[in-house]
Amino acid sequence: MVEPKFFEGPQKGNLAAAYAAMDANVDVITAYPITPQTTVVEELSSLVGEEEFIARNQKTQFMRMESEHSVAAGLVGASYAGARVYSATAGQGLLYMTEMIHWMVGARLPVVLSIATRGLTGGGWNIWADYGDIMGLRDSGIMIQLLGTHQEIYDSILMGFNISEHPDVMLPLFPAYGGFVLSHTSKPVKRVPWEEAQKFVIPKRDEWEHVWIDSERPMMTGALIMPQSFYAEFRIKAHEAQLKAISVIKDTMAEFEKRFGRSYGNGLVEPYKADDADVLMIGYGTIAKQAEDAVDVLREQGYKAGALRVRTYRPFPTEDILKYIKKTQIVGVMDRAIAFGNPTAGPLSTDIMAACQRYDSTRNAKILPFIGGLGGRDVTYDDQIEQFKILFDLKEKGEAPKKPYKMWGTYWTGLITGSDKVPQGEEEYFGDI
Amino acid sequence: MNNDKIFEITMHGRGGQGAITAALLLCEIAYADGYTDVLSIPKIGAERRGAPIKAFTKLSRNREIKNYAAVEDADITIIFDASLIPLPGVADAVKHGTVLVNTNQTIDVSKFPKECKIYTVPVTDIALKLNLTTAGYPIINVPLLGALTQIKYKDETGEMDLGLHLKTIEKIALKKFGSRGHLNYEAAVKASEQVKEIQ
Amino acid sequence: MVEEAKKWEIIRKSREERPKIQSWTSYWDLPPASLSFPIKGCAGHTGDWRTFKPVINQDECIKCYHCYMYCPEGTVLIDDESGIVSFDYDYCKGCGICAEMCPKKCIEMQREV
Repeated sequence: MVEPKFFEGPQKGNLAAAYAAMDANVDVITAYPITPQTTVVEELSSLVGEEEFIARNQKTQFMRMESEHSVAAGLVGASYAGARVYSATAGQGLLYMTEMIHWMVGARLPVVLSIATRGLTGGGWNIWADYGDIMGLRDSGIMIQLLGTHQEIYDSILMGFNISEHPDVMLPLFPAYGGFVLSHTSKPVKRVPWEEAQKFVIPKRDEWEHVWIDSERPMMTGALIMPQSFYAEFRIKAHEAQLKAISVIKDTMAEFEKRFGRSYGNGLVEPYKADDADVLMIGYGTIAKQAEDAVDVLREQGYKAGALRVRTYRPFPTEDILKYIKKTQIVGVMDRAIAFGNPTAGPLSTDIMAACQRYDSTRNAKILPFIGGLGGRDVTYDDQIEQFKILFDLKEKGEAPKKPYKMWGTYWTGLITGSDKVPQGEEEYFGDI
Repeated sequence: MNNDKIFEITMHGRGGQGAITAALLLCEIAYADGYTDVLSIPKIGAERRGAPIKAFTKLSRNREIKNYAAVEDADITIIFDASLIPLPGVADAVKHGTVLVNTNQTIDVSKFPKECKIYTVPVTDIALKLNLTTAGYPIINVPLLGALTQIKYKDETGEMDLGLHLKTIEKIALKKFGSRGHLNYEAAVKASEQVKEIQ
Repeated sequence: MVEEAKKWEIIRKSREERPKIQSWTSYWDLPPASLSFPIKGCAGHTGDWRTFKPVINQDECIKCYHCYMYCPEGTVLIDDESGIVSFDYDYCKGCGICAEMCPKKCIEMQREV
C-alpha cells in the first residue's frame, strides 16, 4: 500500500475538504475556481492522480467546467445517473449556481457541495469570511451546516454523504466554513484511514430510488406540472425530508463518534457550559467557537456564561435550541451575515425568535440580536466579552443597555463609531483592497 | 514553563519573502515537536510582491486554540527585513516579548520597549552565501526558523525557549522541498549559530 | 402503502411490466420528485384528436424521411425491409407537420369528417 502524502498534521481547511471528498470515494467532481475556495479544487485536481488513490483503484472523475452554473449542472447530471458527486464554491460562484441548486432540491439529488463563505460583491469587493452567501440560500431546501474547526470540515464532508444519500433524506448538503478564517489557516487535521472511511460512508448504490438513467427503462423527470397536479405536494415532500434529516444527522454523528471518537455536540448544536448558564450566546462558525474562550474567561471572573454553536442551520434544530433557551431565558444571538430588512437584520436571530413562539416556556425569553464580523473583520475576545457583559446587564437591570452601536434593536458589534475604536489603523499597508 | 500558554507569533515580511510559508512551516515544526494545537493565519488578500505582509502563528501545548482572530500583542515578533521596522504596525505594535530581526547591521533598539529581548541574525547574507535563492531572491524563511530555535522568551514566570529543534526543521524541509531541503537546513544551522542577542 | 411499494418495484423493472396508466392519488403515495414513465399510448389513443389525416403518394416519395424526422409524435413508420413510409393512425393527431416538411410535397392532408 502506498504511504499517503498527508495523513495527520497542520493542514489548511480547504485541503482538509479536498481529502475528505477523496476519502469518501466520490465518483464525479466538477470544478471551477473562486477565491477563497480555489485551493479545494486545485488540490483535488492533483489528488485524483495521487499514487495513494490510484493504488486503491479509486476512479474519481475530475471535470473542469466553464462556470459555476455548469459546475452545478454537471453535479445534477452526474447525480441523476446515481453517481456520488462533490464540488466546492464560494460567494458569487454560489449565487451563479443558484438556479441549479433549486433543481438539486426539486429533483432530490444528494449532492455534497462545500462552501468557503465570503462577502458578496456590490458595495465593494470583499472575499473574506461572511456568511451572507450561504444565508441567501437558506430557504432553498438545501441542508446547511456551519463549521467551526478544520477537523470538523473533514469530518462533516465525510458524514455529509451519509446524511445526504440517506433514503429518507435525499437532499443536497452544503457544509459551509468561513473563507480565509478556516480555508487558508492551518490547524492539525487527522484523516480517517481510507479503509475505515469506506466502512463508515454509506455504501454506493447503482441508482437512486426515484431516478435513474437507463435506456431500457426510460423515464422522464422534471416535466411540466399543472397547478392541479402534485407540484405543491412535491415541495412539501422536500420539507418533510428536511425534518426527517434531523434524526439522520443525529444518528450519523453518534455513529461517527462511536467509530472515530470525535463529536460535535449531537450534530445539530454544540453546547459549551450551557446547562447551568445564566446567559447564553448562540452563534455559528468560528466566532461561536471563539465564544467558548470568552465563556472560560468570564467563568473565572464568576460570571456564569454559556455558549451554543448552531452547527446545522437547515434543517433548523428547533427543539435542541429551545431546550437551552428554556433554561436561561436571556440569550444573545450572534450573526456573521446580514439579512436586509429582516426584523432583527440577522438570519439566525430571526429564526430563533420565531422558534421561541412554539412553547409558553420560551415565549418570553429575552433575545438580543448581535451582528459582527461582516466581510471578514475580526471579532476579538474583547468584543465577545462585551457582548456577554451586555447580556449580564440585561439580566441584572432588566433592560438592555444603550450603546452607540445599537441601532434598530440590534447590536452591531465592531461597528466603527469613530469614538473609541478603529479596528486596524495600519490596514492600508496590508495589501487589502 | 507555563504549559497552558498559547504562544502568539507575528511575522512581518514583504510579499515574496516567504512569511506566510514560514508561518505554515513553523506550525508543522511545532506540531512535530510536541505542540498539540497549532494555528497559522496568513493575513492575505490581494497578493503583491514587495508589499508589507503579516502572518501569525499560535502554538499551544495543552489548550485547544479557539481564537481565530489576528494576533494583536505578539509574544514573539519576527521581522523579515529591517526596512519594515519604521512602518506603522511593525515596531510600534510590539508591546512585550521577543523580537527577531533579519539584518547584518546594528538596529535602533529604541524603537522597541525596554523590557523586550531583541535578537538579530543576518539570514539574507547566509542565504546569498549558500546560493539559496529562488528567482534571484534569497530564501530567508527557513533560516529564520533556524534562528528561532535559539532565542528565548521571557515573562513573569521565567525564561524559556520554544522547544523547537533543528532536526525537526531538517525533517520538515526535506519533506516539503525535496532535494533543496538540505540547503535550507544548512542555512538554518548557520543562522542558529549566528543569531545575536543585542538587548 | 405496501401495494404502492410493489408498484414502484414494477416500474423500476422494465418497460413491458410497467402499468399502462401510472397515477398517484395522494401526498402519501407520491415519489420524492416528479416522474413519468413513457410508454406507448399512456395518454390514450390520440388518433381521435385528428380532423385531417396525412396520406402519402408512394410514387413520388423519395424516402428522404423528413416526415419521420419531424413528426412530433413518432407516428411515421418505416418498413424495415422496403423502406416504405406509412402512418400509425392510432396515434397520429393530424398536425400536418409532415406534409409541410415534405420536400416533394407528396403528403396530402385529407379531410376526415
